[in-house]
Amino acid sequence: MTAAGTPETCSIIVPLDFSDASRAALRYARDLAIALRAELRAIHVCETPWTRRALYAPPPLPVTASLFALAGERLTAELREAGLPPETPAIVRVGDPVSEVLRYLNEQRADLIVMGTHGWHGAGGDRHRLGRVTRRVVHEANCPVVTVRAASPGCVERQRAPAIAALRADLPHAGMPVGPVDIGGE
Amino acid sequence: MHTSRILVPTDLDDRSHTTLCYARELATKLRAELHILHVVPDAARESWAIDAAGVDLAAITSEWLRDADVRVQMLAHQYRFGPVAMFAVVRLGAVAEQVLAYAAEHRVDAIVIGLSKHGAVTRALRGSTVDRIVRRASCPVVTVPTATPRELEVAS
Repeated sequence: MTAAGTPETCSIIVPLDFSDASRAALRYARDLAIALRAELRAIHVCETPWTRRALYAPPPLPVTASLFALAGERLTAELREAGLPPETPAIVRVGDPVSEVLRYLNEQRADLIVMGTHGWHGAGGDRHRLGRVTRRVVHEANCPVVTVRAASPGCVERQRAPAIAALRADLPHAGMPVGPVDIGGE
Repeated sequence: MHTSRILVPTDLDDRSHTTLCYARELATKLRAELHILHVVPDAARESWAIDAAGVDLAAITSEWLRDADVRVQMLAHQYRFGPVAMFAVVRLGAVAEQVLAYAAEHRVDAIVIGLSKHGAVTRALRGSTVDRIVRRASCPVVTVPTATPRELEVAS
């Protein structure tokens, strides 16, 4: 980034959490990258219960490795679905989403972050609230951040329903009523 | 994605420079128009207005409006660059509401707004205007971390 923060030679980072807002952000970032002739890089941060507010380093567990691989596959699929070339750099990290995104930003010396207004940590049904992760990235990043809203609230609800149903099927206590809450929300 | 109109709200202070430069650069690359907007508060709604009996608040407000108009026009002139079409606009009211209303009325494709760094505590207490715009805008919002000219000098 230049001193004035101008987008001269541009590299764009798009953090994905596979929510609808992040999908909208990916598409916007793709178009912006074309318009600005910028390089696009995607990152997904796997959050495990102990990385949330860990006071110690996460212990290496075999389950993390499988989570890692799964996230990598999903990330690749997501990029392919958005019509991005397969050589688009994409990375999966484990840890706190905010610090990992910011760390990646500094490593890559990127010029711009494009992200959804809220992902799974969500806004508890109020689409006018800003997601916890997005809010922190907006305030803590030392580069410009573009926030993109998912297409429409109706669209979010429709698309989220199957995800909740799938989660419900996976749960041991399946059949428990799951309200319109965000998965992993606050 | 077609970006034809970019809105830059500015409070006209010396931190606006970074934001305006960034927005102008973006407008050039995306071949978009640039709308510079400044929102003037209504004097009658200021906290001191209650004690200001006998003061012509409407006259103060219109004076502020006239002053702001000159400043914004000057700013637009100063940042005029190449083929970018510039519009200088002054509105009256609350900042976030007016910015959002303008964006909706003029079908703005992106809002570029400056963001000054504060600690988490200040942020939590004040609840910033930028946050409100980011939360409520239906178009993408670009937040640009800003610095005063002095801070830029020190950094470079």
